[in-house]
Amino acid sequence: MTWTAQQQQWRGDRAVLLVHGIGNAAPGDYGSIADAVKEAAGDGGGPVAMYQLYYDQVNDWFSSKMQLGALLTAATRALATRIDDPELGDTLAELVGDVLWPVLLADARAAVREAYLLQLKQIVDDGVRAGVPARDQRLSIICHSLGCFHTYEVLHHAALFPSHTLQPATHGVRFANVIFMASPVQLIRTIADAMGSLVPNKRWLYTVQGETLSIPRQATLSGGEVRSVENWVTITGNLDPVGGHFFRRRADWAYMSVPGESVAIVQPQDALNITTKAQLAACFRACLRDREPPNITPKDPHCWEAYVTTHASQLRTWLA
Amino acid sequence: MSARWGARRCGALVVVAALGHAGALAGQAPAARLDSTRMATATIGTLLGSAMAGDSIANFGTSRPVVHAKLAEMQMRLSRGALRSLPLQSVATGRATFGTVLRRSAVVPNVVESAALDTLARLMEEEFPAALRPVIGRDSTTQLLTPVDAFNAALRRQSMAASREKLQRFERKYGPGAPPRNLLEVALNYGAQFVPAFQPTAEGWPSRAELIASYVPTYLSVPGAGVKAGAVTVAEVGARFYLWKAGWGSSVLRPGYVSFGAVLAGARDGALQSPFKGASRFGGFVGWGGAKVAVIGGRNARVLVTRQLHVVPWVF
Repeated sequence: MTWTAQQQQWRGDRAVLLVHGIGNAAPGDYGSIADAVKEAAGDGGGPVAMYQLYYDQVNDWFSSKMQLGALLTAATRALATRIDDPELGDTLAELVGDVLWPVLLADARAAVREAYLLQLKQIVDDGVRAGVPARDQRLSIICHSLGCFHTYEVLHHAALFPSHTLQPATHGVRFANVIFMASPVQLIRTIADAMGSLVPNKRWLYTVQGETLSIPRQATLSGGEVRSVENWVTITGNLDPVGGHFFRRRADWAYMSVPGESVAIVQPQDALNITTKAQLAACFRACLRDREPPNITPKDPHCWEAYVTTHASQLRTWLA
Repeated sequence: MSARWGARRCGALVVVAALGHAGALAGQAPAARLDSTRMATATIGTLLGSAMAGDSIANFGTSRPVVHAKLAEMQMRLSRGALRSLPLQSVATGRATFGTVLRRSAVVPNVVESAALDTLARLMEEEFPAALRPVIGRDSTTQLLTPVDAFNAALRRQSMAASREKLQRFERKYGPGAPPRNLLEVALNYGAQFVPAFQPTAEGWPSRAELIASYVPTYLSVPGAGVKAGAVTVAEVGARFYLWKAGWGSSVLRPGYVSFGAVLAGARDGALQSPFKGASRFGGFVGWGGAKVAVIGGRNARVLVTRQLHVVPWVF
């Protein structure tokens, strides 16, 4: 079945796109997160059009045709070595390893990126059809986990290629907010660097480009520069390894920090009552499943819904 | 060039007057909505009119001479009279092809004019909102820029169609109906990702090609002079090329892919034989979708037929 982008009828000038992370999400999933975000956005700034990007259907095309077990094992081992913690290393590497596979498949990256770009174009088009010019649309993206990687890739690609009509200067498409929750982008960058020549088509893997991670931007014809994102926010928890924290210890090689970012929050996750490394490892082992993505629950430091509810008041400010 | 541009300012002021909002609406909220009728009927002429009006209102001739000169240059490049009445929505999707230029049968922008149109719309989007909003307000700016929005909306819908086409191609190559790969093919095609011909393009179009290396125990020999019908096992090495044409990929007559390559058979016919045992017999195969025909040479030359089958997942 061909992948299709979601369409919505706009009643205001705001739209929010939710991009999920690792997991087998199908249309209709993460409804509670959409409700929480909608509530946080409120009606003060006018009605908000909610979109969700379900890209697992595209991922499934590749998993049924590509068996990457050996390569993923190599990547996970490299990760465990890097984490360098005998108590946590293997478990966290196995959990985080799930975000590495798109790096190994150039076609899978390109296909998910295309689905994402199509969804963004559909959002802008829905807004224009409702009478809101692209330059006046208040667009926000809230992404989680692997969704942060795809978001980072898509924003850079969109800013570079005019054919997608999503450039910030040429087409007036600027995102009011992009909120990365538990982002593995820096972690993927480090592991992709470590894997060196095993990573295909690196030229178009934006996560590994440049001296540091960067906020996408476009040069104007008159010599200026326009950022794609006005409010670039990163949020992670101090127990969340995908967000670059290994039992309250921040690992710079895995923590996403982007020059020029607007807000960076590391949320203390004391409420989860995880006081020892053994408890943390047990928590993650409980959500790991054989040959399937992990089953993340609200007791897990990586839970998306918990990030959204914890930061509801800030979301209200940003999305207003 | 600049003088000619300046002489048209009076026309520009007429456009502003036609909007009926100049100056008076500064600071008004909420923002104006795009007028879908005006978007649908916007032409290259209205775009040029808006460019002139915006240039005049913002006084770019004094405040931003570089922008002013660039706008004038684009105006010059779009000065062919026949272009002015072309709707922007169709211009965005119907650029000049080699055929239309040869036939001279339709009025379409040539390469230089298309580039000028892109540059003019881009300049207006980049420079006008910030310069015009403080002077004529948000609503009038939105109205002035309606032709730009019409042009970009048409380009966006064209781009969305291209994205759908890319996804359909990826699905044809990897989706549920695609021929599966064995582990050797997975490894070979992983390696092939490092070769440009097998990579997606910079714009994200998938490559047509993939490598084949397969153990095929399901060929049947076609009976003929001295040849009985029977199973033959071969090893195939070759390439598969996906066909992207619309309407193809769903039937035997219009398959989603073709394939060709070399085959190797062992000394003896039969199912589940080793193709590497005994005196080797070489040949070639071609595939039309799932249907394949192979010829192996030697003293006992024969023609083989089979269908694309995956007997044991990830193996053969």
